Amino acid sequence: MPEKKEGVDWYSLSLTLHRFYGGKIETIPKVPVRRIKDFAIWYTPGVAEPARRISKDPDESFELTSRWNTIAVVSDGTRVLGLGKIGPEGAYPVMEGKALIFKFLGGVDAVPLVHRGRDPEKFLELLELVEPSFGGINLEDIESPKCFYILEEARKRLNIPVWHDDQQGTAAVTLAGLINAFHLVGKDIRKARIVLIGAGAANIALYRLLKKYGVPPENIVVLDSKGVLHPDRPDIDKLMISHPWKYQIAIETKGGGLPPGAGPDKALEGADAVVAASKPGPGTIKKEWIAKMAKDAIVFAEANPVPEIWPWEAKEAGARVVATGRSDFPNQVNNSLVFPAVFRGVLDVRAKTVTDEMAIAAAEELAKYAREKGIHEDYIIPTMEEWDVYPREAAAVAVKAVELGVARKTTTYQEEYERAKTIIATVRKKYEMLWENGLIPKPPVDYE
Amino acid sequence: MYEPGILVRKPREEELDQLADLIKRFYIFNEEFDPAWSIVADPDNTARIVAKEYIEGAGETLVALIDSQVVGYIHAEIRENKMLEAGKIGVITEVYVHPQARRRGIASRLVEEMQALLGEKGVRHIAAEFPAQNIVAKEFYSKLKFRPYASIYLREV
Repeated sequence: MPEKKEGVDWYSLSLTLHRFYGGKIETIPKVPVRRIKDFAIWYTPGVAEPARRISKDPDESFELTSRWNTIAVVSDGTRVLGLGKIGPEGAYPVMEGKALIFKFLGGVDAVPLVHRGRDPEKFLELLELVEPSFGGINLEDIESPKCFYILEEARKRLNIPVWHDDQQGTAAVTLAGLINAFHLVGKDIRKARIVLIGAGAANIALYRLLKKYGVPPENIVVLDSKGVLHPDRPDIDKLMISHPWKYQIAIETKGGGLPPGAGPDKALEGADAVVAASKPGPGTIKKEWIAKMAKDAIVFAEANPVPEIWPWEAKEAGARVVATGRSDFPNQVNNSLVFPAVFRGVLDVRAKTVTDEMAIAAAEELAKYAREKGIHEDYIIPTMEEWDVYPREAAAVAVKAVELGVARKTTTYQEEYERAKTIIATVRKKYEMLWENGLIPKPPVDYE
Repeated sequence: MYEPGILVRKPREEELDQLADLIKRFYIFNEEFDPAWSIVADPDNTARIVAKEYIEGAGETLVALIDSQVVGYIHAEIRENKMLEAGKIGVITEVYVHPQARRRGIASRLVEEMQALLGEKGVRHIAAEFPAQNIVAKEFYSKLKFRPYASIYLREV
């Protein structure tokens, strides 16, 4: 069913415009070509010298080529948006859209790389084989639990940052929202009871971040479609083989002290916060359950297009802070607030990896930015329009990479902030010039 | 190295029910790896019979206890080959730790204690037997510096 907002049929408009423009991105040179002879610099014979230099020291590829600012957006098309297994070609427009956002918000050159390597080992081999072309890898829309294995292994095998946005991106922006929501209600997140409904990529990564952030595992309850992840679940030993990530959560949280077999209604009793990243609502989360939560309850209902519970229903049931995945409600938990900035930061220091600590650094900076602006019930996270948040996050991530010893180049917060700001502003300026000069044709159809 | 408060010793008669439960869980877990590991129709009763045999001294059995609760067990048997210089080999056939008690090193501790017990009986090598597809067991024993030693191939008669 098409999602219509203000009468706009986004599906039909999108199809028309994708056909009109023939995709969304292209490559544009950034060096002067004043006359044909200039190619002797950029291509043969001149280029032989940078090539020789890089051959002796491969890390020079980050300085002498565009590798430092180029990443691959990689998907096997096995779990695309809410569309499921639509194949690599089907995933292409989504990856291309991601690449557009990377450039626009982070100044990062991103290349869609969709492929047929559904087998995790083939997928990993592909990443290893193409590593020399890129400064980072953004994994996207890969089915669970395969995505956990691929991320874990790729992080071990590759010497460039590998990020799975459906895991770390969503988890980091959720963490930022939670930090500020707890700030607002005056509770200590590290002493709070937090319930995660849904055990897919986002919530499993959020569990990992919360733990690293200092929330004791026993304070966290995670539920999948069969109920609470609990050491006494009948399928616990089978999970050890089939889904070690759910297994680990069950063992570490001990089911949050709940009886085995408990469902979300029981889990939410007395809870301070709930993060649902499960199946679209409405009614996935019931008002009666929210009513049983602790005072000043925090409710994040992140399913798209329809949240697990409508924000007004959650509020009527007693929730104080509500966030969703939608841009038409306050407090949008949106990955786009994180991934362009994280890659800006890691690329600028030529980082060898991107760790959970770095994702937390991005989340903290995002939260701090909103606090400085003044948080309230309807503003716990910045919006995508507040673009100064991107260089700030990039700076926080870059400094953390240096601190952790995973950066090839050193920097300071201020230096990276200025650099990121310049890079992103320059992209916007170039883009505006193309638009204003009519080099990007006007769309033949539009929305109001 | 190991958490305090964990006691390892031979099982006692009054622990029969708890031991039987762990034996049953061990076999339910391993059942899925190979059809030849399918368990009997009445696992509860049979596990009690097996537990009784273990308590009475069939093979070598140790249990791990926390607050007087049996949270894990290990079972081994001694096999002898007169032609081999190695002579007696202690073979661990079952290890299981209750999910509530995992991530505390109890399984490793059980293996260490079993090794000590078997050592006293003249065993110079210990081995472990498990379904070929059980990757958890494979990783566990590899971590404890066991190496592949023999392969068992099977077919139906």
